[in-house]
Amino acid sequence: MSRIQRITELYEYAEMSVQHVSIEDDLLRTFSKEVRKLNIEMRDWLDVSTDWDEALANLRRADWRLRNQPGVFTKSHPAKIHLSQGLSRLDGLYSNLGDEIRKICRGIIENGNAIMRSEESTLNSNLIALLKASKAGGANNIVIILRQEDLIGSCLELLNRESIDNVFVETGYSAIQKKHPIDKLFVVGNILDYSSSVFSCLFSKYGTTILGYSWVPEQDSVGTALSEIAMRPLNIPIIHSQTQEKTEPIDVSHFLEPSVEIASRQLRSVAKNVYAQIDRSNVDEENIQCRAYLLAGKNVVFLPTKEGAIDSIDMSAKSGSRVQRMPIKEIRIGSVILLRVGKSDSDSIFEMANEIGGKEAIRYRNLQKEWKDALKMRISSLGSPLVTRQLQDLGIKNPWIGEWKSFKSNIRPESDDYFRKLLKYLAIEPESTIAAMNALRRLHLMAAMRLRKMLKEKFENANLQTIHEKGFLIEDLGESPEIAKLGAFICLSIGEDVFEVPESAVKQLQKAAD
Amino acid sequence: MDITYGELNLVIDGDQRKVPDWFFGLTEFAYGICSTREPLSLNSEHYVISLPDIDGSLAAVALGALAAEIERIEINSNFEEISLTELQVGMKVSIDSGVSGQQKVTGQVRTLDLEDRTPKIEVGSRWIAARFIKKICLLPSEAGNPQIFQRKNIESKVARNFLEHLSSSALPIHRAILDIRSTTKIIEDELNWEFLYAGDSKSLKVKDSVKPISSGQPGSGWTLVLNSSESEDLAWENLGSYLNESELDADISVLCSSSAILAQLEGVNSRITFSILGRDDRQLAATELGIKQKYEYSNPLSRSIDSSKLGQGIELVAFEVPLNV
Repeated sequence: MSRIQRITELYEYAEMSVQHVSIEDDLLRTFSKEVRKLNIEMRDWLDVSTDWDEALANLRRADWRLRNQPGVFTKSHPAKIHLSQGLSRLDGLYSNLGDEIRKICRGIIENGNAIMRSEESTLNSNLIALLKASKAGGANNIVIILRQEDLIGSCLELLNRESIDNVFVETGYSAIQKKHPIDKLFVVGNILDYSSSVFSCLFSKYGTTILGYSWVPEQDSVGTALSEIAMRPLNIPIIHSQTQEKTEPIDVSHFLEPSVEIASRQLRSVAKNVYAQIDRSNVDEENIQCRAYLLAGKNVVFLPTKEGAIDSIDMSAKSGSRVQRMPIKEIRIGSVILLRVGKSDSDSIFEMANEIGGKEAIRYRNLQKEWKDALKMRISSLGSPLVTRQLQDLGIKNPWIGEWKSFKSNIRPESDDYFRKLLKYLAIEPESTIAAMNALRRLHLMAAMRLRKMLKEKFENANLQTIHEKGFLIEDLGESPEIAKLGAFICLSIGEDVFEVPESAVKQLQKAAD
Repeated sequence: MDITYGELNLVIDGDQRKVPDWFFGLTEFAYGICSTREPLSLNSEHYVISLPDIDGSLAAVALGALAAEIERIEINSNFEEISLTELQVGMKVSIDSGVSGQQKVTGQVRTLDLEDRTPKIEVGSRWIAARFIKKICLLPSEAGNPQIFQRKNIESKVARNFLEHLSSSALPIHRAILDIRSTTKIIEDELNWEFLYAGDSKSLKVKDSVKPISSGQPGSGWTLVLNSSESEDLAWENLGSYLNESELDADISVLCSSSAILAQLEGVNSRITFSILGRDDRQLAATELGIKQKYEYSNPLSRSIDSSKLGQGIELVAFEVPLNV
């Protein structure tokens, strides 16, 4: 297929609806729902009992893989391995608990054993039937998308056994990057387990089919991360093949890939210990809500829960495009993130900007301090709500005074008009301050570009094997001690607890105790 | 200007097909936005175009935006021929002089000395005897400060499509019209895309119209600032010796690719900015986040626009922020 033809077909089929096929399976449904119930009932116990934690972690992984991992359904199927381990852990754990828990556990063991004995998987049979029907219908270039890399091998083995050829099996990410010619796409699992780009940039003649189970709620449409603010949003409808169960509201998060939730419990105590060591003596410092991330090399970092981005390394990208910005919420177990070792990003940019600007920078900084101090003083005497209202009365639509008063992360409000009004409100002569802040912003831009250039040079050509082997890699960034070092770290676990972390400790590498 | 590709085929990697609707739609959209903009607006309008694949979008949007801007200059500034008696100090002109008009001098009129025994005028730093002047053309301020007046032969009325018109009119413009920020790979690839009439042997390339300053002929009409987002350097740092600050300040910016948007979105201050991202981009999530943050601090568009020309599968986010003047 030629390049023009491939792109043109993408647009041609771009708004075709996604077909959702939901499989009915009574045995798996009962097992899956009981595991969910047990997990909810025992939630508080999981922190204190390793046995319960391991039993439920295995059962949840088994439940998820039964619905997401097509593969020859022998006892070596990973879902059955987790199931077997989960059942043997569970056996004997529940005898002293209440009637309801005992009943659920007995049900799980009974149904789990039935699944272990079964040689048939409804996921396999439905997928094979759909593949055959698609081929019969004329699809020649079929791609199956599975959520993660470790599901692919067993699926290929199944296709081989069934003598189904000319089918690619990929993760969503690799399917997008490889740009296979596609005329039919199958996605196994739930939409929320995937990036929305799987559904917003892979379009094909025979459309996309998502294969899920009837008791796992599926959404009715899919768009992009920008759809909610778009003037012309992308909204691809999902056509459900069967009526979904509506008898009880179900939290879909329980049925999604459970690794992050399971690992976060194990991080909890480590994060609490690290948090206790952080210096919180500066009462003027703003606290930021953060989650803890356990990194290779026994490191922990606290990153903001609100939206933000961080530099990362895409280990699968070619040299030249490895260093990329990644939203914090997109960090997964296995992601490689870049962190300053020693000083923070904003410290380094701040100091490099001062270095580039020399004497003029000192003058700009004094003017910056003058207007920010005046704003802080106004806020402390009148209170934020009144200052905000007064600024709104002056015609400033969105007075972001919390951000404006920050010395390092914000130089000036975006709009000249608003900035001029703000300075007049603070009784500061506007024009010289505006000119100085514009000059300071250019210095920050130049400093950020220089730092980023240094960063890219180091890590675009770094030996990734070291990261694979040790889990991290630390590089010197130039000779200046002010710029310190930069490290690439594999993320091992992500906590769910939210900590109030002083601003100076956010994005700073913290050492976890042995 | 009639924005159609007519019977032109698009040629990529040797494959020749009728210009596809999605490509035409992007060109029409960019043309529509730029041709209806208020030239002296104090707002900076942002149009984020999210596509299933970024391929071809830079060429399509740049051609549409350029057509609108060239048309504006042509309509408002007719490069009319004027007589010697109409000449005034301060005017920017291009003068053909010499026995057969072979010498071309372009610049600002500094002195008129027509009552002298040997009448003469001072243009730029040169004196020209009035008797040798064959032709005087008035240059509009929008043309910047070209050193040579040059206009090719094909007029718009005989051009078969807007591309032919754009590539042939070559207005004597000595300033940036489009500020394009993208990756080297995209720029090099898409500026070489070709258009061809079936049976015709001579093709028109995108770069025949969208001419980079760095490779343009000095003084003959530069049309854009090209800047690779990978270079980490801003083009104006390198182009300062060719153009002054106001000549480098393009009204239209096109940021194409996630890396360009992430690196440049906060820095652009054009009246119109097209940010184009492919949903297949490796840095998609970070780019969407950056755009959402910019949107948080913005205002809704203060004019209505027509987005119906965009093909299906294309998402559009539009907003404006006050221009930093």
